Amino acid sequence: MTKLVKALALLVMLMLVVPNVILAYSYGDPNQDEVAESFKEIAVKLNASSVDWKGASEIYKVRRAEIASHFGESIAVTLDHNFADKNKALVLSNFKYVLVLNLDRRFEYALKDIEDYAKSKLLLAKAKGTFGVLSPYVEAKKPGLESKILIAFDAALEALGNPGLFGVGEESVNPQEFEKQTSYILQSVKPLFPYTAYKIAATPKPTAAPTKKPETNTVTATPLPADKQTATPVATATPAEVTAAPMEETPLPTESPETSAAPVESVEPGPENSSGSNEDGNDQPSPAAEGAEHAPMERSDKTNPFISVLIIGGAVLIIGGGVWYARKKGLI
Amino acid sequence: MRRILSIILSLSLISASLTFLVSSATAAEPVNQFNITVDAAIEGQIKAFAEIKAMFDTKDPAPVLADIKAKYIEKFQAGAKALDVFIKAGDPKIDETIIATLDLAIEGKLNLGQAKQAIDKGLQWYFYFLIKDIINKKAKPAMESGDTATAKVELEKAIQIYAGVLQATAAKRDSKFKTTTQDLLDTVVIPALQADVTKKDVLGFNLHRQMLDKTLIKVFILATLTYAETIPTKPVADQPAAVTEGYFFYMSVYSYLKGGSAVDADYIKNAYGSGDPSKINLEAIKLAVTRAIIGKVSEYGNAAIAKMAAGDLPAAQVYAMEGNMFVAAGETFIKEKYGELAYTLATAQGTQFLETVAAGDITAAKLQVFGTVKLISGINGVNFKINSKTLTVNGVPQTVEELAYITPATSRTLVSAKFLSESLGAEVKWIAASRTVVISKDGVIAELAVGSTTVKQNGQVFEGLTLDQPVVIKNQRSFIPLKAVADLLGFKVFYNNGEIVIVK
Repeated sequence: MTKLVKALALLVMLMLVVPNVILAYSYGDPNQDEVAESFKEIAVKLNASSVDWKGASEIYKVRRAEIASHFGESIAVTLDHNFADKNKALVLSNFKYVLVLNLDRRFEYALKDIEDYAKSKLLLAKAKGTFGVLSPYVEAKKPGLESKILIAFDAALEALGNPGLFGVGEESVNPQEFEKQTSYILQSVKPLFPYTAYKIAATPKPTAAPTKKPETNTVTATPLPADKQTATPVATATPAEVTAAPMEETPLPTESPETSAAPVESVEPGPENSSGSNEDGNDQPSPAAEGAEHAPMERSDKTNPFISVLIIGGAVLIIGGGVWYARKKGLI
Repeated sequence: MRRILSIILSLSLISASLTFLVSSATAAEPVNQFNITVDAAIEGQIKAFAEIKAMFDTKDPAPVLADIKAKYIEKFQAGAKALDVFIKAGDPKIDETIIATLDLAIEGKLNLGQAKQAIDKGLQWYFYFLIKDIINKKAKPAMESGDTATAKVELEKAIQIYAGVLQATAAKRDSKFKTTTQDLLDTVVIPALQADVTKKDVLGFNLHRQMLDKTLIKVFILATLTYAETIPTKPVADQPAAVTEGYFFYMSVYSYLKGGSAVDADYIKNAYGSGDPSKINLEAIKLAVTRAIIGKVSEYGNAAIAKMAAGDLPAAQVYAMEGNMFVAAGETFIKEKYGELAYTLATAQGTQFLETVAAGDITAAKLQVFGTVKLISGINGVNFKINSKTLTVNGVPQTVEELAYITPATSRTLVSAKFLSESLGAEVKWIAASRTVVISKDGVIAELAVGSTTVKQNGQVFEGLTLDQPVVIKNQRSFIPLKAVADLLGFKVFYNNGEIVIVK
C-alpha cells in the first residue's frame, strides 16, 4: 500500500513537471507581428510584375490556423475563397481587415494583462508592429491620421506605467487612459478597412447551364459583433471594379478613401463559389467572440519546434529517469 | 572700391557664420531615443565595429584575416590596451586575447568563425569596459566636482556606446530568458542617470551607475548561460565558434564573478577557455554562476552593513544597490527555484533594504540582509537552527546526528566535523598525533589544532585570523568554530536569532 502511495505521488510529481516544461514558449521579435508580416509578404508577391499566387497562398496557409483560431473560421474561409478565386483586391482588402482585428486582439489582451508590465508592453509593441504595416494605407486613405495614431500609441505606452526596479523609475499604470488611447486607434482605423465576406449563393445549385452566372448576389459585410461595431462603412465593388486596381499595393495604396467608403459592396461569385462548399459562410463572423478565449499569441505556430523537441525529449528523459529510480527503489 | 571690398567681406562673414550655425545645429541634433548629442569619435568606433564585423561576411573576395587584424589594430588596439591597464594582473586582457585568437586563426589553428566571434564578442567586452571607464573615471568625478556639463557629455558617450553596441545584445538575452534588461536600461536606468546630471544629484548618479553596470553584467551572464545551453545542440562544425563566443562574452564579467567565488569563476573560464565543446556543461556552469552571484550578494550586503556601522550612509546605499543588482542578476535562478512571485518579493525586499540603509537603521538592515541570503541559500547554501537536527543544504532538508551549539564563553558557533562535511561539502580529517583537524574544500586546506588560537591555510600560518574560540573536544568528538573555518574556505556566515545561513 505504501509503495502504491509512493508510486502515485511520483506519478503526480511527474505530471506536474511535464506540462510546465512543455509550455515553453517563444514570442519572436517584440516589434513585429507575424500576421502583419505575412500580409506584407503576400502583398509583395501579389504586386509583383508577375503575380505569384502560389507563393502568396503558401504564406497564407502557414498563417491560416492562427487567423481561424483568433478571428473566426468564417474569415479564414473567406480568405480561402479569395485566394482560390485569385481575387487580389479582396485578398488584400480582407487581409487588411484581419490586421485591424489583430490590433483589436493585441489591445484587448494588453488591457487584460495590464498589471503585467512586460507582457502588456510586448502586446502593445505587437500592436504597433501591426499598425506599422497598415500605416501607409491609413495615411493614403486619411492623410494626417497616421501621426495622430502614433501619438496615441505613445500615450498608450505611457499609460502602462513602469514597475521600475528597487524603487527607481516606478510609474503607476493607468488602465483607463490605455483603454481610451487604444479605443481611439481602433475607432480611427476600423472604418478604413472594410470586410467583404464570402457568401454562399442562397439560390439552388447551378442548373444544367453552368455558364450562366447568377444575376445578382449581394453581400453585406457586417463582420463585427454589435458591441464592437464602430461606423464601419460597407463597400460596394463589382469584380470588375475590384480587379481594375491591380497595383493597389505598390508602392503605396492607390485606393482612395472614397472607394473604400462606398455604401454597399456586391461581389458576383464565380461558378465554384455557388457550389455550396462553404459550410461556415455566414456574413457575420464574430471574431472577437470566437477569439476571446484564445491566448494573445497563437501557441501552436510560435513555439520553436527545435526547442519543443528538446524540451519534450528532456521530459521523456525525466519520466524515464523517474520510472527507473522508482523501480530501483522498489516503488513500482 | 573699398566699399565693394567691405560688402564682400561682410557677406563672407555672414556666410561663414551661417555655415557655422547650421553645422552646429546639425551636430547638436538629438539622434536617438535617449535625446543625446552624438560624439564623433564614439560614432567612428561604432561604425568601425560594424565594418570590421562585415569584413567576415564577404564572399568574393573571401575574408582576409590579416586585413581584419590590421583593421582591429588601426581602430581598436590602442583603446583596448588603455583599458587593459586596469584589468587585474593575471586576468585575461582584452587586446592580448583578441590578438592571440586572430593570430591562431591566421595560422590556421582556429577557424574563421572563431576569429569572427573574437572580434564581435571581444569588442563587446571592449565597449563594455569603455562604458565603465567613461562613467567611473570621467562622468563620476565630474559629477562630484559639480561639473555637470562634462558629466553630461561623458554620460552621453556611454549611452551612445550602449545604444550602438550593447542594446541589441540585451534584447537578445531578454528574448531568450524573458527578462527585461533592455527595457530597464532604456526606460529606467538611463533616464534616471540623465535626470541625476540635470539635478546635480551625485548620490543618485552613484546609485544609478551601479544599476547600469550590473544590468550589463546580467546581460553578459545570460549570454554565458546561453552558449552553455546551445553549444551541445549545434552542429559539430559550429561548436568551436560558439565556444569562442561564450568565452568572450564571459570575459566581460569574469573579474567581477571572481570576487564572488574565485573557484567558480575560474571553472567557467577554464571550461570555455579549453575551446573544447565537450567541456561545456550547462548545469555545472549554471551552478558556478549561481555561486559567484550569491558571493557578490553576500559581499555587498556585508559591505553595506559595515559602511552603516562606520556612519557612511551614502557609501552604504551604493553597496546596498550593488547587492540588490546582483540579486536582480540572479533573476533566472530565483525564478527557476521558487517561481515568479519569489523574485518579485526579493526585489520588493531590495527596495526596502535601500530605504532602511538610507534611514540608517542598521538593525533592520541586518535583518533584511539575512532574509535575502536565507532566500538564496535555498538555491545554493546552508541554513540551520542552533540545537536543531535539521540542516537545509541547497534547499534540501537533511538530518544531522550532532547538534551545532553556541559556547556561552565566546558566543561562537561550534559544529562537528561531520556537520561541516555535510553542510559545506568539505573533507574533514582528524590527525590524532598532532590533535589537529584538517579541512579541505575547493583546493583550500585549513588546519586547526586543539587548544590553539592560530590556524594554517595551505600549510602556512594564516596571519589574518586569530581564533577567539579554538577547536573543542567534547564527547570524544572535535567541535570546530564555524565562522573561522567558513572564512578560511571562502564562505560567509550570517546569524539571526538562533538561525544560521552559510553562503559563498
